Amino acid sequence: MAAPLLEVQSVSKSFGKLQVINDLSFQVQRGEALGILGPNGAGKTTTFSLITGEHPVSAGRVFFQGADVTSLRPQQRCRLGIARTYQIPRPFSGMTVFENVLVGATYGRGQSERASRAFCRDILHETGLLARADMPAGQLRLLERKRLELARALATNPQILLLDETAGGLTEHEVHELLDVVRRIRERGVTILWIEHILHALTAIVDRLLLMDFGTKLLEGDPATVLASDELKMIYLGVD
Amino acid sequence: MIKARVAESPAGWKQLSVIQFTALGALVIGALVSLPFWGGPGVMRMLVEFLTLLALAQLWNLLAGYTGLVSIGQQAWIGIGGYALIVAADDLGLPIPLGLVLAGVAAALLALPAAGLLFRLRGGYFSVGTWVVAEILRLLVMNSTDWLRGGLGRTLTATSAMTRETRELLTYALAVVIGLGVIALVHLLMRSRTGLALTAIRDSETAAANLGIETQRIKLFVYLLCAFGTGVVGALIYLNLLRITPDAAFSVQWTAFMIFIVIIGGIGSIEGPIIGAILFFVLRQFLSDFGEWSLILLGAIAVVMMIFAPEGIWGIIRRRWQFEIFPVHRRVGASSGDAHERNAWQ
Ligand SMILES: Nc1ncnc2c1ncn2[C@@H]1O[C@H](COP(=O)(O)OP(=O)(O)OP(=O)(O)O)[C@@H](O)[C@H]1O
Ligand SMILES: [Mg+2]
Repeated sequence: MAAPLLEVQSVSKSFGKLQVINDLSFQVQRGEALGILGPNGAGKTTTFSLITGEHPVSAGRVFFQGADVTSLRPQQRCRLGIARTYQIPRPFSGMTVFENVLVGATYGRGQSERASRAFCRDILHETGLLARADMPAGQLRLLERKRLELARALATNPQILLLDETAGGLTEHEVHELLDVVRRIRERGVTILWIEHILHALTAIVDRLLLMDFGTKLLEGDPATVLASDELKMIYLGVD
Repeated sequence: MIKARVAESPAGWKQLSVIQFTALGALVIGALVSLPFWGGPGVMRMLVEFLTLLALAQLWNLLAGYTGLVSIGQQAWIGIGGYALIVAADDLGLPIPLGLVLAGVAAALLALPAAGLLFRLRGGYFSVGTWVVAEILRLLVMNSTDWLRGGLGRTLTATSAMTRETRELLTYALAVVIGLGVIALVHLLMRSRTGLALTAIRDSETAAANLGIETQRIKLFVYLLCAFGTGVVGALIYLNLLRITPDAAFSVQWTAFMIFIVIIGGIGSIEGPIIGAILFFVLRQFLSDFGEWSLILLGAIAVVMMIFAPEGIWGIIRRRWQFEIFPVHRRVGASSGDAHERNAWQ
């Protein structure tokens, strides 16, 4: 088998005395979609921050496209093709929606502003934000902010897209809209890593599931197996 | 610390056409250039002071309002700039305009190691740090009793060979160039790709870094640029005042004025500091009767403004008439045509 697109190798992370990630390892193949499940505080978001380089690892290594990226800064990893969304959106609120996306395209994708305009417009269209393009991002409602997270990450032209609870708080109808967008992104060959509590949304997209708690991997495998597992029932339903 | 709301504007607001903008610019430039021929020396002196304050406020707004680097220590570069001019012109015998440039260079050179320390600090700690840097520089100058004559200060003598008229004309010409130059610089910068990065860093430094912006490098660039600009203006101030002392030149009052002007006028816009500078100027003449109390009154006005109209006077005007003179936002202009596709997600 070819080298995985992303490999997290025995990674640990502590904030002071608090160990949040403990010897976590997993791989993601190119073109694959991997879902991450786990209770609150399991360390899912932190795992993303270690992959993007926002937080340095305490131990272990991260490989991307076969290369060790553990010591690279977030900017460098972004340009290599790693993009993320935030669970709690972080829009550039004083800039317009279009400018938010333009940041991703010019700095993340490395294109001139002029060359990026049409590209950004397409992304805004795809994520349903075109009608809001000239509005300050600070005026968006929560759901629109979530879409902006996605749009901005897409503008960097990522190889792998890390989605952090993008479907959280959406209505059933909106979840279906989102799934269509994510499917289209997948079809373009973008690899997906998706943290989500809404199981049916996750299983509609992903090839595999990874279940984690207390910063470690409990189980990894095809969705049916993981969903039927005792570990999952214990965590989500509280039954032994 | 200063968390005034940045005046937000949808990019679709009314703007001047290119012809109108050029005409307005030509009118302002024409008036300023021709002023020595029809205005008296009193008016010229007033404008020098106004243009210096305007340039200082624009630079502070670039730093704090656009990039989110809230410095309360910009007086450091005024002091360095002022002393550098005197050293360049009196001690080294260099021409005044070159002295102004060197004043900016001196400020930027000293800002470099300062940034190395300051950029490890966040938010309020950064702000206090900038003040500490200014105090350290003041003490260093204070202790240079021979060369810089310590607390006694120095007097610019290089211009004493000039007639009073020549000196005033030179000062005025430099003030016009610097005042207009700073506005042009900020406007062009904010419309460039770097401008995008600055507001992104201000609004979320983490997200900015994650989208590929070299946040540290760009913050350093803006910090040094503002130190350079403030140093040049500091030299201009002391070209006008002639006498410099460390206590006056490194006084936090300078930064207090910048903050007042920007907050009153409207932070995060170019029009704001212009309006703020005009208002400050008028208020100050009026408040000068109150002596020491005038500062407290100015502070009170700023606080009231921050509570009731955090977007400043320009923010109110802009919202009321949906109008901008110096637009910095990029627009798609697709809002109306694509209104239908919105529904899909809502
Ligand atoms: N910067 C930080 N400093 C200190 N502790 C942190 C930091 N970030 C996260 N933590 C802690 O690490 C643990 C894991 O947090 P994380 O956000 O990764 O969980 P999560 O699995 O994403 O949870 P959720 O489902 O609630 O989003 C939590 O106990 C959290 O308080
Ligand atoms: Mg999380």
